Amino acid sequence: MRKYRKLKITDKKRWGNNYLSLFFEDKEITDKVFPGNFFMIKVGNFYKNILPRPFSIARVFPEKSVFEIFFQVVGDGTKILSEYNEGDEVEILGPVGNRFPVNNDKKNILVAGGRGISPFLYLSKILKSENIDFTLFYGGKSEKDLMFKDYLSEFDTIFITETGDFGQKGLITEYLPEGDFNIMTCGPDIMMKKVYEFYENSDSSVFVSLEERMGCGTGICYGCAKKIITPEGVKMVRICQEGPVFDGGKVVWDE
Amino acid sequence: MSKPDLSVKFGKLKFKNPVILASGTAGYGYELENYIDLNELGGFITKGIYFNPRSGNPSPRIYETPCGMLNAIGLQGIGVKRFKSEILPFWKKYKTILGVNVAGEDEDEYKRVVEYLKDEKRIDFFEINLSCPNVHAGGKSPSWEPETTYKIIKSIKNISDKPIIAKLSPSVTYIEEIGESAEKGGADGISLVNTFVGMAIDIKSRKARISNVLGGVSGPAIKPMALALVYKLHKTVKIPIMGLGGINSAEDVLEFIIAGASVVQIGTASIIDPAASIKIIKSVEKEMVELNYKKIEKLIGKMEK
Ligand SMILES: Cc1cc2nc3c(=O)[nH]c(=O)nc-3n(C[C@H](O)[C@H](O)[C@H](O)COP(=O)(O)OP(=O)(O)OC[C@H]3O[C@@H](n4cnc5c(N)ncnc54)[C@H](O)[C@@H]3O)c2cc1C
Ligand SMILES: Cc1cc2nc3c(=O)[nH]c(=O)nc-3n(C[C@H](O)[C@H](O)[C@H](O)COP(=O)(O)O)c2cc1C
Ligand code: FES
Repeated sequence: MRKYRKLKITDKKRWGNNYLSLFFEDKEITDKVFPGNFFMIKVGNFYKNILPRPFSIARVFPEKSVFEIFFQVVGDGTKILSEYNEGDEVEILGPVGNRFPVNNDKKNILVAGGRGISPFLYLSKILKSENIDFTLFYGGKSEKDLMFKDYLSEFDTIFITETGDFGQKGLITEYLPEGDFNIMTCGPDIMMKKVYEFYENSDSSVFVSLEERMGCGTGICYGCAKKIITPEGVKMVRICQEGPVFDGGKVVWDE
Repeated sequence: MSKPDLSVKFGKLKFKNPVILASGTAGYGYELENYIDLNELGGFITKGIYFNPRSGNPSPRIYETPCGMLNAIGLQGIGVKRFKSEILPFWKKYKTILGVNVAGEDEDEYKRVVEYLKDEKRIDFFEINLSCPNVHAGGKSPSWEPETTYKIIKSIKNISDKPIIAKLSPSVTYIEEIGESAEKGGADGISLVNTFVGMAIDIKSRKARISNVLGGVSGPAIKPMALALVYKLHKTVKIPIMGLGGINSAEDVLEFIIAGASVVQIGTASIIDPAASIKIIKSVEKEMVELNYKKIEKLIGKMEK
């Protein structure tokens, strides 16, 4: 049976600018987790900050059975999570959700905005180890919004900042190559929408990782549903079950 | 030390333990198959269904509130046809008592749903959702009015031999009056409470936190109010009560039973943790042993002054 399990925080890293990473050791998880998947984490209890919060898988170090959650403090729940320390236990469910679809025949282009880098950290490692051609575009407002620079230097990564204080200057969409690719993107809705529109009339397929407020993460509450185009028309589809990764062409973008 | 007896008779229904998964907070059942053994439950109530499929409300649909949550899912559902062809066959491999939560936009729709499903052997009872605050404009629900409550229950009662449970809204002035009209209409039991009407506002954008503006509040925040309503209703009606509202522990379960509920339902707790119901059943058993209570049925409504 799948269930919430208490996992011990084995390491913690503060990146500055309210970004943090928590590390856990669990072979069961590192054996099966794949980029796109996420976890539900109980940040509070039944009487305070009742709802568990969703977080993507970030880096994975399979040889050590270690995985990472990377997050930004944006409210109560992430604040509580940021106060946990090495040795503390948190209750985690997962991995849940679907995977980013890798394409062996086309070049893979990964597009990350801000904290949307999480799924592409491990994906880059997987693609490289399988000799699959890819480029990662990673954008943020300024240098301090771009993390993992050392780790990402191993891969074909293009950094872009709006201020231009690190990497290329401007918006990610100004640097995307035209052509026939397998695009995978994660970040603010507005960025993913622009990436989708950039490739809308090309042969490229674009896969996006959607976010919505979640209740259960197990598919029972229908709290996380968003408008998705299905064979039977536009439907409210659960992000936690059928997603979080969707074909950009099936997303109703003006939601 | 012998095990305490957790079984409860509820009219024609015999629950092996008093813990039932509430409607809308446990899906159709199959979603939980990888998380719990559905046979360990006292009972299960499926997500509310209308006659036709419904897409429900746009996002955002939920918001966390102090000690609880606000939701306006808008009863997204697959409709009776798919329910019959896809969901009921799934339940054949389980023995758990199964209730179907029936929704309707008008009086006729409740009837049509029950009519369509009345001969299905796998269904043990119908729970008539007279209380969903989300769907009608302004959140109005049938169980805010004694006459509508009476009329709907009465019109369904003759269709089916299966027990009819009226699920009532707590957002009313006199719960006693509504409960009595459900009883007069022929209800075999009452489920109390559904969510309380509530809302939350983002002070920056000045927009409501959920798309429907008004939603239903559930979770531990509503437990004391729900308990009081169950207590009041138990003193008024003779039919048995399924009590719910913020239940998450053995103590919560026993409180509702002592206040007058025959069985209880677990809602939000199961959203927070899919295994909550099973953990609660185990701890009720433990708590009964500690308190030297032998038979849970004997505790129903047994309050001391
Ligand atoms: C599948 C999925 C994967 C995610 N992965 C990560 C991740 O790897 N790292 C990370 O930092 N964040 C991630 N998020 C977002 C993260 O879940 C929210 O930031 C977090 O729940 C906010 O909780 P809070 O209590 O701190 O904020 P709250 O006080 O609840 O809200 C603060 C702000 O965050 C927004 N918010 C709340 N819940 C969500 C949500 N579920 N999705 C999007 N925005 C939300 C609110 O609208 C509000 O503006 C992910 C979300 C989803 C759906
Ligand atoms: C997300 C959600 C969906 C719900 N859907 C239904 C429903 O379809 N039919 C119904 O009668 N009650 C529905 N309810 C109400 C619950 O069954 C229950 O009455 C209420 O949440 C109070 O119990 P709780 O505090 O244990 O959650 C829903 C509640 C929630 C939180
Ligand atoms: S969060 Fe409950 S169904 Fe997705």
